[in-house]
Amino acid sequence: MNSEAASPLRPRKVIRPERPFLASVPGDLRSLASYRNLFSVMTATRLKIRYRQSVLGWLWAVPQPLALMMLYAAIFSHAVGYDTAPVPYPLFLMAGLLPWSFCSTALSTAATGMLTHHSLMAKVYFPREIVPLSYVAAALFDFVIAFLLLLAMMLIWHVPISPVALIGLPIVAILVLHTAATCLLLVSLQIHVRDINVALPLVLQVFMFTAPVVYPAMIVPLSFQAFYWMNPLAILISDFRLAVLGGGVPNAGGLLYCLLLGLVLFLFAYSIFKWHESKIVDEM
Amino acid sequence: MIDVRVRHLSKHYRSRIRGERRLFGLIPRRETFWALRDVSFEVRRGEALGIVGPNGAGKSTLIKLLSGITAPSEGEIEIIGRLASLVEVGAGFQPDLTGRENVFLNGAIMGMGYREITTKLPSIIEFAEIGDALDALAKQYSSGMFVRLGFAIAAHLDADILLLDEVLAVGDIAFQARCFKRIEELRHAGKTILLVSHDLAAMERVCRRALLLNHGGIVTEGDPHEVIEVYVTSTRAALRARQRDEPEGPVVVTGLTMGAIDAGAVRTGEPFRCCVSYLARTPLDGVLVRVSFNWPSGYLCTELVSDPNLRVEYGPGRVEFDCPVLTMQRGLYSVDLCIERRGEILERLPRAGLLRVGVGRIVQGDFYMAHSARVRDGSDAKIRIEKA
Repeated sequence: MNSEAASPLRPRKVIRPERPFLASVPGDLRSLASYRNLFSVMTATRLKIRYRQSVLGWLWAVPQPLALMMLYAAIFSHAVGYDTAPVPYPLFLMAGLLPWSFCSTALSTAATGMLTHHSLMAKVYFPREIVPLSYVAAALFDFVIAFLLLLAMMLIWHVPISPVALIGLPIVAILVLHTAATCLLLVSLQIHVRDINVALPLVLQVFMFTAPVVYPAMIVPLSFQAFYWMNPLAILISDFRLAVLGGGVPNAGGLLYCLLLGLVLFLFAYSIFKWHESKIVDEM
Repeated sequence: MIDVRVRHLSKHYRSRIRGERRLFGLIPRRETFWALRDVSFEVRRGEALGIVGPNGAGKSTLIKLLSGITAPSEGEIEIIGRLASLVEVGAGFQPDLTGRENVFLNGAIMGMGYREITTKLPSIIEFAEIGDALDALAKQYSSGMFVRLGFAIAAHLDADILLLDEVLAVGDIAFQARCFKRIEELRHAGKTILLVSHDLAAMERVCRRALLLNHGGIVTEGDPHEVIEVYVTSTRAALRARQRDEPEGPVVVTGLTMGAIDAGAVRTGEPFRCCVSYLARTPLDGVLVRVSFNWPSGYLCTELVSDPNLRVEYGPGRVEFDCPVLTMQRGLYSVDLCIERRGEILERLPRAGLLRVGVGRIVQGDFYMAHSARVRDGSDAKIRIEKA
């Protein structure tokens, strides 16, 4: 007697030792959708706790990029003296640091977040991807606040804010896709190598130099450029800066490449994560 | 109609043994521990199944597998309907949020939607009885308030199958009564219930069928009373076997019988007799025999204590305790035995037996006092009603 009286009101669930690799994705996404309230509450809780605990409150997201910007501006202006005219160097830095900070914050907090939530995951079942994804959402919120700072700086330096800046929105959306995918891959790896977040800050620092965050892309040697522009992070950050600061329209081909790559990467990362999901409580 | 079907379910854990490596120190040796081994059972729609067993039997592993927290190593579980786990209520409570915010967080963790929580919020608050404290920060709550709130949220889950564990044993007596009432309402409403617990009285009260789990496998299944007998007897047999290995004691307990004096069931308010049989290797003076009755939670209810100067002769014998009126209320009590001599313990048998007290004289409260009542008419000056 199989599936006795299973109906939409009484869903049938079978728990087996192994999950199918890609085939379970539609069902998993449906399950994730049914837990969307948890996703928003968990993100909101994270932000609420952070803001309640700190003196700065809503401005919590401001000091970090600002301080980094001042640090890098001080180092690189004097040491190397990049020519980023007509855009002043601090502003150039800031426009690059914002999306980069979003990525690196999302990745590092997601990794430590899995450890923090381990005891909760051992007690209750909910789709585990909500934990890292809620950290991505929280980092995105911080990004939005810091973006307001960027706009303020643009006003101070009399840099015109053109409507082309709105292209920044889809660029950020694609960046979110890539970041989410990388987070899921990272935490999947973390299931087996628990101390991965110790090496992470160093890895992130190295990765920062693969994208034009602190330097203009023109200085990349021609022979290397083909390889350089295969990195979606490089494309996205430089296009974001171009649209928001320079008012220029980025190359559609590059963005399309990033979008498609992002979708494939996310699908792959999500499948790997769900495949490993049950081991989270056992191994970590 | 089957709601839960477990087929050949097995779960093993592999742990690394520190310091031992094979293959020239490259591969750490792993030890396999089977928490569950080839377990199969079914739960019908609307049935209340109890799962009982000693610590380490595999109960919490079974709960984790049914909830989806971990995956089986072999076998499969089929669940038809939505399963809500009332295990670990109050998980995820944040001290930095208010009670109200925690209700929304915990409800979301359990899978409730925003609108659902908002609609059920007044009912949840009423059930938890925490009143105005709802808008205070959770760090100010007592642990009892956490549990009440957590259970109140879980009790409002929209589910077809409920998985419960010791959650019914926490909170004060009034709260426990409310939890039980809620579970019974749900059972009458046709929900399927799985109770995994040490609380044998709760099991007998709620469940119509039970399973005994030990060492990762099912030992027996059937009527809860019978399963519990097997469970207690097996503990008793294990203890007895252990005692026999060390026959140094001068006195050894060989049996325990309890019953009503006039050959009926043991009932509240009726005469009760308890006999402890023993075998003495030497004659002894100054012996004291103690029979302790414990509540299901493990706390001592009352005990029968003999005169501290019993004289015991060589050979087999019996100590009889006569109670003209049994004051213990209806329930299930576990019995501990102890033989002492001038403060020194000669023989101790915890959980030596199980006493089931049936309904006799019906009174509310923790125990029964022997009493009689009579009417005297107003002219009798002996009875005066004194105003406080």
